[in-house]
Amino acid sequence: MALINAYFTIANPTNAVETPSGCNATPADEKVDLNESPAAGTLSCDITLNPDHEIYQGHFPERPICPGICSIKMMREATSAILGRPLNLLEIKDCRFPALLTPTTLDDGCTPLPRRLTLTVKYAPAEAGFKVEATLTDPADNTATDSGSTPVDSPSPATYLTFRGLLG
Amino acid sequence: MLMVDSYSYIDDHQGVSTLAVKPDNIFIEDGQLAPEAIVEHIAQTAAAHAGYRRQLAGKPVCLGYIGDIKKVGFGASVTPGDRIATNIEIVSEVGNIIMIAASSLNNLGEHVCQCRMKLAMDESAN
Repeated sequence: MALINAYFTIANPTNAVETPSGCNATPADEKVDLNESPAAGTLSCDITLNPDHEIYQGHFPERPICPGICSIKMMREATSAILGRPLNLLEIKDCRFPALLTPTTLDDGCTPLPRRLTLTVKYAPAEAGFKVEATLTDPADNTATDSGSTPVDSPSPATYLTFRGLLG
Repeated sequence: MLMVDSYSYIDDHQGVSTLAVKPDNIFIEDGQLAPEAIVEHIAQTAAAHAGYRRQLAGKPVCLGYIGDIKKVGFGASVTPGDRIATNIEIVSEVGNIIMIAASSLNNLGEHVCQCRMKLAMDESAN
């Protein structure tokens, strides 16, 4: 998918729309007309951060951290792109940032590489827009801990955003 | 992406910041300030307030990160030329974790945003 914002790109979008007979996987280029028939479903995509973007010059000098609100905005913009309609942020019920999101990783131990994330969004029609539950994880980072201290027996991808709210 | 211009009031438990929204703000989309940017404005207001209090206490200023955000509602949209005033109050403080309640109005006195936010102050990153 094309660049939709300079500070990140998305790829490999999927959208599984729930139908009365079950989930129906929808190809990325096959938009669901949610205006015609509001539907529930789960979408996902890969997100690659752009570590050279100007937001990291000030947030923070010599210590680049992706602003939490940019994680929310990435979720909203990627969801808008995959569903094929502009969505505004209407409400945040609960949003957590469990770990600091740096724009690069050191996959080979020495060379900074743009961080790749996986966005998963469950959506359902609501009175105003869509009720949304979203997570942003790094599948290559299995250093997740419970309570932030003790390694878990079966490491799960590091989570950088959990979001519950309304888009519309 | 500085999202606070100044403080019009500040004490140990409360602060009021202002932001004049300019057309070249990085978060302008379709002629409006993105709602996420208002939350960032609130976060920077809270972080600056925390820095002020640390200075009063003789401690070095440190970085602050958003831990979580709850009960965020948005009102009037914000466009270039608007001026936002944001009031924050400290709800609780445990160690380096600060919980604040925030409310933002535009220059017409209309409700723009309110939220509760938890900030973690990172003393290792002075």
